Order: sequence, then structure tokens, then C-alpha cells
Amino acid sequence: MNRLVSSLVMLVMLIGVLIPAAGAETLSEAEKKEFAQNLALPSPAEMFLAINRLNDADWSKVAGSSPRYDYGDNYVRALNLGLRATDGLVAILSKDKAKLGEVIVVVITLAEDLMVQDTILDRSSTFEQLANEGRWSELRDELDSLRYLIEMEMDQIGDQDIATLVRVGGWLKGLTATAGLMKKQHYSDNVTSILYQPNLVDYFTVELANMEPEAKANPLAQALMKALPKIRALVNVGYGKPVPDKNIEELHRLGSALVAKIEEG
Amino acid sequence: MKKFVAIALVSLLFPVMCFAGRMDVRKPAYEQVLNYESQGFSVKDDIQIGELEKGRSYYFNTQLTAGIEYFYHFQGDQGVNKINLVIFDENWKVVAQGNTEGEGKSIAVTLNPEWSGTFHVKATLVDCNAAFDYWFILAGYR
Repeated sequence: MNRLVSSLVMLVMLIGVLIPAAGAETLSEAEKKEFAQNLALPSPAEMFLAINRLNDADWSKVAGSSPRYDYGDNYVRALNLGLRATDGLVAILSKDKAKLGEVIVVVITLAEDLMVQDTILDRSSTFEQLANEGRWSELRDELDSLRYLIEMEMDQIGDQDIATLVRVGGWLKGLTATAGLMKKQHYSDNVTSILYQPNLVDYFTVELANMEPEAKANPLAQALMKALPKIRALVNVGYGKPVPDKNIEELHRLGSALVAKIEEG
Repeated sequence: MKKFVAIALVSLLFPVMCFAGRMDVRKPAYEQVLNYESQGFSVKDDIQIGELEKGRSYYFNTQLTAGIEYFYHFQGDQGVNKINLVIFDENWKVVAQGNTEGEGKSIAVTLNPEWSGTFHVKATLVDCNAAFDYWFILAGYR
């Protein structure tokens, strides 16, 4: 009898191992590789919003923004457009109408120089109205839309390299500003994981490497390609782990140096 | 309004999207944008529209941020009978999932990641009347 009971117990355990729990989703290794075919990029606004929610983050300390727009080539314009679009998000979070106005003028000027359609840029006239009405959340969405549509148009008219550089610029400024805020104030372990973005670094590494030779030869693109492995090493702490303070400080230093170089042109 | 303009402009930029099926799913996509915006979500501009054969899945990665509430809305066109959506974290643990039971052509899931990282989204067109059908995925945060 005892042998029968123990055999039944073993049979039940074996079934439990062989048959996944009802509703559980299992993936084959081949299927896991499918996910890497497509990437939905985040907006820097997501990082900023997460931090903004935690305390009275002093955005003015990371809100530095160059008013310059007279750059000599489209690669530099594109990188600066990305930086400025992210600066606009910071200005919105700090509810700084004057700064936002300055940033929008630079974004529109750079976009015009990149031959973005008027139909897209005409929408920028709503920024002033939304800012005057204090509709900051809508403004944030509107600015994100403008950046996205500019990138899409660049992609569609065959300027994928320009679109890539706009994206890289925006992402780099978002990462740098976030590291800058975290450097000034202690955050809990899971909040520091906002900087844990090795797969985004990998994505941008591939995108930059796939650019045309002329774009890749640009000194700023070269500087970015050289810096990305260092950035990856700083943020690649593993899922569910905090990013150490020393990594955050180094990330901010490295990111700030790159941003300054891009702004210099 | 802005998302309507965004959908319209993106459609102009993508001539392929002007096929009738894709046009058909743009209207419910726009309606859902308004629905989520009214709930305080910022709807992401990269609205994904595509077609899938019956039984096939669409896969993508995305970076999600701790401290933010996200939604994913997966919806099929008129001829779609059953779909499901599963989201995995970096360790392939299911963190959100939903499927349509019987009637219903849309699924909405929300998640609040405890840790930031890459998340994996799998959207499956389980059953439809034809050999394939159209779908869209909206995502947003608040």
C-alpha cells in the first residue's frame, strides 16, 4: 500500500514537472530571438516622469540648453535637434515657459534646415498656447510627437542617418540629465535602475555602425561610437540590480562631455 | 487631436498603410487613443499597425521604466475572433497577459515595472475569419 501511495505521489510530481501550469506562457529559444527583430524606443519623458514623481527634483540644475542653431552640416544639426527636444521636456517639467520658448525656436530652426515639411512644423504654433494655458502634460506629449514626426519624416525621405542621429542625441541627453539628477540626490535601488539600458546602447551602437560612410566619418559620430561601449559598461549592472553611485557619476561626466562636444559642433 | 494628426501624418509617410485593411484599423486606433488620453495616459506615437496570419505572433522588445504605469492595447480588425497578448520581463517571467474569450477583439493590460529594463511583448492573432487580418497595438504611460 505504501509503495502504491509513494508511486502515485511520484507520478503527480512528474506530471507537475512535465506540464506547465495552466495559462503559463513558455517560449522556445527560437521564439525568444524573434523579439529582437523589433524595438519600441522609449521617450526620455518616461525617465523624467519617474523621477519627477518621487520628489521635488530640481530640473533647473540639468536644464542647460544651448541656444545655438548655426551648424555647418546636417549630422551636427540632427544631433543637436535631438538634444534640444529633450531639453524641451526638461523645460516643461520645470514649467519654465521662457526656456521652453527658446528651445522650441532652436528645434524648429534646426528642423527647417533639415528640410522637414511645414505641415509638421506648423503644429509648433500650439506650444505657446499650451504653455500660456499651463497645460504642461499636453505640452510634453506635443513635443514628443513633434520629435517623433521629424524622425519619421527623415526616415521616409531616405535620411535614415539623420533620423538615427536625432534619436541618439535625444536619448543621450535624457540619460545624461537623469544621471545628473541622481548624482545630486540619493535614490532607492530600483529607481537607479532607470539607467539600466544596455539593450538601448546596443541598439544605438548597431544603428550608428549601419550609417553611411560619410555619416560615420563625422567626428561627432566617431566620438559617440567610441563612447557607447563605455556607457554600456557603466549601465550594464544586470536586471533587478541598482546602478552604483560611482557608475552614475561617471555616466554623467561622460554624457556631459559628449553633449558639450555636440553643442560645440 | 494631436494623435489624430500623428496617425494621419504617419499614414501619409507610409504609403503602404493606405491599403484598405490598414485604413480600417486606423479609426478604432484613433478612438482608443482618445480613450486612453481621457484616462490620463500619454499615448506613444509609434502606433504599431500590421497584419498577421492566423495563429502567428508579432514580437517586439521595449524599454520600460520603474515607477511608471504602462498600458498596452492590442486590437484586431472586424474579422478577428481571438487574440492574446503576453509581456515578459528580462528573465522571461510573465508580468502581464490577457486574451479575448469568445466575443471581443481587443485586449488591454497595464503594468508597473518594479525594475527598469527590456521587456518582451508577444501579440498573437489566435483566430480570424480569413487567412490573415489586420491589428494595431497602442502603448502609453502615466
